[in-house]
Amino acid sequence: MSDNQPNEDKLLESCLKGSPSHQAQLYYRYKGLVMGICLRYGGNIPDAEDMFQEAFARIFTNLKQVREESRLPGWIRKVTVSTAINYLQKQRKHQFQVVTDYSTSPPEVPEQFTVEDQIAQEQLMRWVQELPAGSRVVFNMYVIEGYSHKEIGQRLQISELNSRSQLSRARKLLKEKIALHSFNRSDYKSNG
Amino acid sequence: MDNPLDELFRKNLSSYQGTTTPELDQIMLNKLVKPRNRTIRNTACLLGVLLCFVTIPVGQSIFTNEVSPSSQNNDLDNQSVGLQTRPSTSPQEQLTLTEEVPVRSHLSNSKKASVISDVTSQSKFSVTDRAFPELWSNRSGDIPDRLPPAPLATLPLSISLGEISANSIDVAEQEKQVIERKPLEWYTKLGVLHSYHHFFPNDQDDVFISQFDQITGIDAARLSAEIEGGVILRTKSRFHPMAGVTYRYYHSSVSYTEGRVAGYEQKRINTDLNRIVYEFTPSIEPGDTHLSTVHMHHVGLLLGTSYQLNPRRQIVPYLKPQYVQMRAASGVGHTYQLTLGIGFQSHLLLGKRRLMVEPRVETDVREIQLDNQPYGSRQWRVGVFIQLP
Repeated sequence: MSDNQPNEDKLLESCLKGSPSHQAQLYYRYKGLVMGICLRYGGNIPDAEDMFQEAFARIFTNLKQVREESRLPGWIRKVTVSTAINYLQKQRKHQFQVVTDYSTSPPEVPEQFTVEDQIAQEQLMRWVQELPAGSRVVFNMYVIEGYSHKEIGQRLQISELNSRSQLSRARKLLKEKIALHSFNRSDYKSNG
Repeated sequence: MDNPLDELFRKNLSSYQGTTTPELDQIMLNKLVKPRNRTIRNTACLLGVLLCFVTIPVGQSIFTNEVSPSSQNNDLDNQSVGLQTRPSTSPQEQLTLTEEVPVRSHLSNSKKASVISDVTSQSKFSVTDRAFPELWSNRSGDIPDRLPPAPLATLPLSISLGEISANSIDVAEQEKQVIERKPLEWYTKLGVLHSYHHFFPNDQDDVFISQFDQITGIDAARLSAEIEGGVILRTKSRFHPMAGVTYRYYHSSVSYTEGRVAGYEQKRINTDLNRIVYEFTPSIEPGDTHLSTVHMHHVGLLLGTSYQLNPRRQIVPYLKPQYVQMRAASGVGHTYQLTLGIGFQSHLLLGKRRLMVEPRVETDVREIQLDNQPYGSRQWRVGVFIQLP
């Protein structure tokens, strides 16, 4: 690490002392991580930007709560996820209900899922963003953040069963998208 | 993780770095980082602008100089001291001030703050050639990017830009020291209250006590002094519980049909155990202030009991003491009151001292008398307190 890139200890200490340059440095260092989380939860850029602003405001306000500097990235991640969930709950944009659409038969999805092609990060992110809000939040919390269904249920105030259903639905939708994506690519290749 | 789908997304998205627009970055930096800079820079700019206007002679030409936009630099700490001047070589940028009055009146009107703010945002200042003579004489030649500090010594005011910035930083440091709060704070309050009381007979008796002769309206006799000591617990939320003990000295007179209590003297000890103060000013960070004053506001709900002593109340002979009597031979009346009040506390930061002024309205909603006393009272009190931290 160069001199211009202070380690977490010095960065946190300087930020707490109110050094604007280090506060700016903290912002630039973690803005990508925070925005990544906000995009995953937000589903669209305006919501993600709102979450982003709230998250950073909370981060800067509560920075003194970080006891050990080495935990700063994890703490920032936790605060951002919490802010994103609070934001979505405030917006009431998502209902954590089990939605089962029986009107159309679901498309065929292979039981054994394999990823044959390298799929770009951006594409994966887009698919996650396209998930219904409730499923998206549960999928993010369970798969990416590693929460258990019990914890998700407590945090979102839904039942554990509901959480499992949302996750199952998210997985199914994502499999469909990947299957369609693979089919289009193979079709494109075979057609020359 | 067993599920390959989960694994795919976790692997790719757990460390996904989102991108932000420059506009959003600017907004965030203004919101999160700038306040301290802006305060210090505004302080420096204010002094700088005042300095310039002090030194501008009437009718003398000046030229504009740009403050180097230190926001372009990585070291944002230097923003506050970024009053390095760079002369403009363009003749179109030369200005001539022919009248002094408009300039001064412009600065003295109510838009002074916004003018200064505009000046800050545009990052332009006007300085005299007297202040920077070598710039004036060197306009046609090669002009250095930064001026040497020497010309500043020629300013009429014996202050340099470095000192201005240093003073600004000192102010911020002082503010930081003062605003830093301990979780448990002791305080002392001194107050003056005016009581609007209403006396009434405790035992209604048309024969012995039928009418009270009492003071009405605003009267000096209704003033009381109060001293209060207590502790405030600073919580993480904006609700701060307080507990304190108050001693009030009150002196007034009341007379009634069957006797007179001369020199009604009330010495009262309040124990305000359930006071909650709500702080509704946004949290103030050190440096996020204007010059050297800070205002913080609290609304407090006063809910407490008081124990009242009336040691000098005279005993009046009654014909029917079973109705109206003062059992205590010393004439001491023991009364408990339940007090409800509301106050608004404003903090004014003066250098290293914090002065808190609190207007308060309170009333006794319930009175319990331990002794059979001839009359009770109902009071509204309006007062102003000064708190010493």
